[in-house]
Amino acid sequence: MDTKKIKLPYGIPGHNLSEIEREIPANEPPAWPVNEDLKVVGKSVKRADAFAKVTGFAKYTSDIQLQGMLYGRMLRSGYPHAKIRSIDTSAAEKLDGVYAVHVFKNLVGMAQPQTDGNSSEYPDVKFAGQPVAGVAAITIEIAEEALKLIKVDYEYLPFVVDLEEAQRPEAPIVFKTNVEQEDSGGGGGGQRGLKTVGNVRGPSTSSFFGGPRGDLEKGFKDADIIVEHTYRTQVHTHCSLETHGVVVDWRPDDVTIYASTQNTNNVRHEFAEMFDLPKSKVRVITEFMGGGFGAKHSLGNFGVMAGYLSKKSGRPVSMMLDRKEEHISSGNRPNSIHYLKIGAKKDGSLTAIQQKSHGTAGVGLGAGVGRIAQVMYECPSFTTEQYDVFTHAGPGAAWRAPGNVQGAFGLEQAIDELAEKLNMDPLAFRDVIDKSEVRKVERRQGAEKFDWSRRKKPGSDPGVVKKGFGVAQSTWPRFVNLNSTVEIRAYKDGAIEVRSGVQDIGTGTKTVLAQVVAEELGMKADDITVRIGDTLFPTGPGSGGSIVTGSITPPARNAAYQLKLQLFDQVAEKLETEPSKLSVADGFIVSKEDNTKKIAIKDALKEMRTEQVTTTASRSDDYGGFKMGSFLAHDDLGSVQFAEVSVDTETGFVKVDKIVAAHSCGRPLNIKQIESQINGGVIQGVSYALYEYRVMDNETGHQMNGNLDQYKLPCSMEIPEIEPIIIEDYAGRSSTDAYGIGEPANIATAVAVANAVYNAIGVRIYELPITPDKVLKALNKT
Amino acid sequence: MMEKVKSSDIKFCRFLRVKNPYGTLEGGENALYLLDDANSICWCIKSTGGAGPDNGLVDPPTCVSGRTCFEQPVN
Amino acid sequence: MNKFSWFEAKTVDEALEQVNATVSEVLTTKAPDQPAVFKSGGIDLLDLMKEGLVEPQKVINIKNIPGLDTISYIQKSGLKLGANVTLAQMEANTDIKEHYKALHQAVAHAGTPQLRNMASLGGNLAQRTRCWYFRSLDHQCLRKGSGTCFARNGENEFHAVIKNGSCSSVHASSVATALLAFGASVEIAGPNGKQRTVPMQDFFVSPGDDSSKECILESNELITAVIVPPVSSKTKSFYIKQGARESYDWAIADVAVVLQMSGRNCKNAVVALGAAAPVPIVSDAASAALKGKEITEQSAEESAEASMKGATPLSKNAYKVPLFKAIVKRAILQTT
Repeated sequence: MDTKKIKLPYGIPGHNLSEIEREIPANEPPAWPVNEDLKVVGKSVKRADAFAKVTGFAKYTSDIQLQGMLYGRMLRSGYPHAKIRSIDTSAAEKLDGVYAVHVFKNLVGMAQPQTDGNSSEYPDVKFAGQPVAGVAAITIEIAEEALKLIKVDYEYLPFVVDLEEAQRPEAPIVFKTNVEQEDSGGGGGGQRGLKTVGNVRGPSTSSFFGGPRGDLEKGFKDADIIVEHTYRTQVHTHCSLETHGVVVDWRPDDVTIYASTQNTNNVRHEFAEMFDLPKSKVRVITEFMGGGFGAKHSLGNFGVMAGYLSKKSGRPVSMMLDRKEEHISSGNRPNSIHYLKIGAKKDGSLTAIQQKSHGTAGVGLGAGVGRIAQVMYECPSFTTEQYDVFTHAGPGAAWRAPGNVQGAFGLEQAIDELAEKLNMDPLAFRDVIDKSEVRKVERRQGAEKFDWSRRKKPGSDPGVVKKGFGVAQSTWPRFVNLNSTVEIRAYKDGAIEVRSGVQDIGTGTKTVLAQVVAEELGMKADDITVRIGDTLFPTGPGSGGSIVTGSITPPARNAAYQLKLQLFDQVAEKLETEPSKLSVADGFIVSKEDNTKKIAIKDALKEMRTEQVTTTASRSDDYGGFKMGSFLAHDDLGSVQFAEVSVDTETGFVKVDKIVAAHSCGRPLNIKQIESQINGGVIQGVSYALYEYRVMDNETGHQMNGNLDQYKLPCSMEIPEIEPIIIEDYAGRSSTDAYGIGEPANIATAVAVANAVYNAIGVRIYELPITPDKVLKALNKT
Repeated sequence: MMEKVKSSDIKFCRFLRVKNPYGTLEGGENALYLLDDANSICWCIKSTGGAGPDNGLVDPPTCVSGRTCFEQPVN
Repeated sequence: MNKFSWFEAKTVDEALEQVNATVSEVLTTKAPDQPAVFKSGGIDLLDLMKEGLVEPQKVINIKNIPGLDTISYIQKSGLKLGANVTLAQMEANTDIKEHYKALHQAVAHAGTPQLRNMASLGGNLAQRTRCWYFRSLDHQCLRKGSGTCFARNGENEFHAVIKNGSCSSVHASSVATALLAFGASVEIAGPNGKQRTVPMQDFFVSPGDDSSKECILESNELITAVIVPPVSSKTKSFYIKQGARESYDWAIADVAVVLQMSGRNCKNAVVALGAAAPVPIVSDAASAALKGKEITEQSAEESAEASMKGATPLSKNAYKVPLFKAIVKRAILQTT
């Protein structure tokens, strides 16, 4: 491959900005300077779909209305653990207005039940709310009436929903295995074949970031101070404004799926595989998306059900979950019991970190506490043992920085406590143990904006309502997905259109794509039409891991760059110069040598041989190669958040007054949108800290607060003043060098609040959410 | 982008899917990196959940040849 | 939600002719096969219908019955609130704001502006508990006619700490707490032009007496008004509600204090507690602790202590005891 060497901005402006030379493929565009010297990128460009959204013109999946469309509803088990002996749908099928009924059957193909041989063609029920059958009817009401007519003969079985109960040897088993599974060895960089005993699977001891390191025993022996505690976090359910759902329109020649999804490409993939269709016959559209925090990556059982119902009825079927279904079945952030032991020397340097955790993702995996304790600070020895505990409860799903939010709640309280024991300020302590340059800058700028000097000794604020101040940090890797392609179409009338399958889940992807292309073409963001969220366009990445911006904006820029080169070729002769001597600015192609030689881009497009030209680019490898080892990603996305709280020591209620949130995301593309993401992440963090928790009734196995009345989301009065700080942090890794912000914004908030609560009352709360019962108990008032 | 880590010679069931915590979907036509056991969510697209068609746990070590519901990958 | 017919009542008599069940009777299957129930603002009824807990065949809209939506205040006789008066109307009423401060505070902290625009006073008093077991189709609880209170040994963090021996749910109305403190009574119309006026404390029914209902209303009865006795310039009151959230929430604990002052001394006091017991209660001990006393930090604290004397918290709600003490004391000290 032809390569060239270019110099890219490197580091943090105002702190350590320099340049780095990298050898990159010859067809990559030249380096952009820092944002200060750009015209569209890095500015607060208005959201491309702002008007459509605030006027209600934007049509979300739940707004889709198609001719002859039916409404689908699913029958869910009201019992957490059962075998199904039989299902009789005959009465439901006869009900007027019902067009299709489908029952989930599992023992397809050669599958034999892993349980006790008491074979049933229906899947075992493993949580209250598990879908059993579905109906499509002309109204939701008729569909629901039909569900009541379906007779299911259950054989009820004992169940367990509590994380600690489920670990007892006599607890009812969620997944029966005939023998204990020993490590079956085998490949991969990660460990496989973890042991399962009863409902407990694990420990997982390594990650993307490697395995254990150093000598733990020696580390603790070397320590002057040791902090050791167990931290607990709650189950947090997904509450996107728009619930999960699809409209499946199955026609003889192809299937169109309107989906509220974070991953159009994967929904197509799963649907095609499930129904044995070529991908070319499955189209997925997500024009507008009402939010997703990690649970909307797959087709889902509701999507499969809608597929069967549409296929059977020959009509489009709309299947949107209601709020209760959303709470009980659509995935949640698992809870955790997280043990941490950290040793440090008198000078502050860490000597050892030991981590052990148990959590439950209900009927599935994924309840670890992330790898933040493994990677954020310099520490020679580290071990982790993370266990999944199965329960008869709704499944876990990714949830805005999976594991890391739970993990940070322990780690950053332990660091806070260590600082106190070492008689060091929490910020000064982190200056010793944290090698991240960007967090150093964030600590400095954040402390200034927050006025950290207001912080006094823990519990020293006089009065009944005590003020407290706390800080916490986070890290998130700079991941990208190379399966990210953008097509740019330029038309003779001057129109420029960007096309990709990537969806905008509300974060502003459309707008940053317009900005990047506009910057490259010397145009305004408003001049660029962005069409995304449709698998008819080239494949885009899923919206997870905060990877979208870093994955999709470089190919967008590169495709625009290729288009620009074509235009230069087209007009060079006319401008009596060489293509290489042309540049763009303010809507014109201009000779770099003689700025009177110019042509409007619109006029240049008229010179094209065809009415439309198309350029396409896919995400290139990261500049400078990719390093495996202690880090999977180059550098990280650092954040430091500061919390100010008021704690009422008589009622036990905590109010978060203010959060200062300092963040980095490589090259920031749109300041206003990044601030919005930070606001959202902080609000969810405050909510995780103080309000939201799933209430499970252990006796009946049901979630008791599966609604928006009793499940407490923060409303206007609960939301603190939020001051974002955005740090430019260049690494020269792609043609845009931009990264995401969605997940980093959510990690540090809850523990910053916990540290502030400690500072207010002088007693630590080791369990989330910090509700008045816990505060009053900590203060010995109950 | 992470380097592709070969999941050795083991063939996983075509219906196994894994979402790792950093946003990448694994399984099917995508490589299985299997690098983070603690925060990866696994599901079977045939049974549409964390329990497989045989009611057993869906996870990479067991979604392999020999399990009764196993199906060969297309390629 | 089930299909139902709609009847637009134009008079109280017409409404009473149509009705054949209370919501409580529908929930405990004591209602006729074709239940016909009242709807005013519809806040609670529609919630119960959406959850599938009640499936009336007929909904009788009493919202537009003329004459039930007015507020009248006469200094000598007090306040009369029509049953269809909305909470928003009460919030905007200057007489209530001026003379019945605790009531105004309670109304202004109920629900959201949108809910207050729809919610009627009568419906607010007749609404059912928000206990999550009661609101769950999957739990056939004591209040719905079975012998089991799931909350007793279950998830009871928001439940009662006083008189919680049978059902430990708490009544949802925080307006009732303030009305109780002001000694209000409920005017109820029955069949054949019968009418009765019931003091607020007799309006609510303790689960120990009858767990199937929370108020005395019979199926052939309708609240027509709430009457609040007159107050004087020596009447001082204050109301505090503590919910899990400050915006839009039910009370975890609420208190209304109404004092009759004589100089610096408190001649008479009523301390009413909501969400403490299954129904709103007047704490006689807390009230007595203030009688004849000067309102000071100490007397307020004594009253607050007395308010929780004999409390029997459950496994997860012990925190409500210090919480009540704190807000009772604060309410007393803030009466103006």
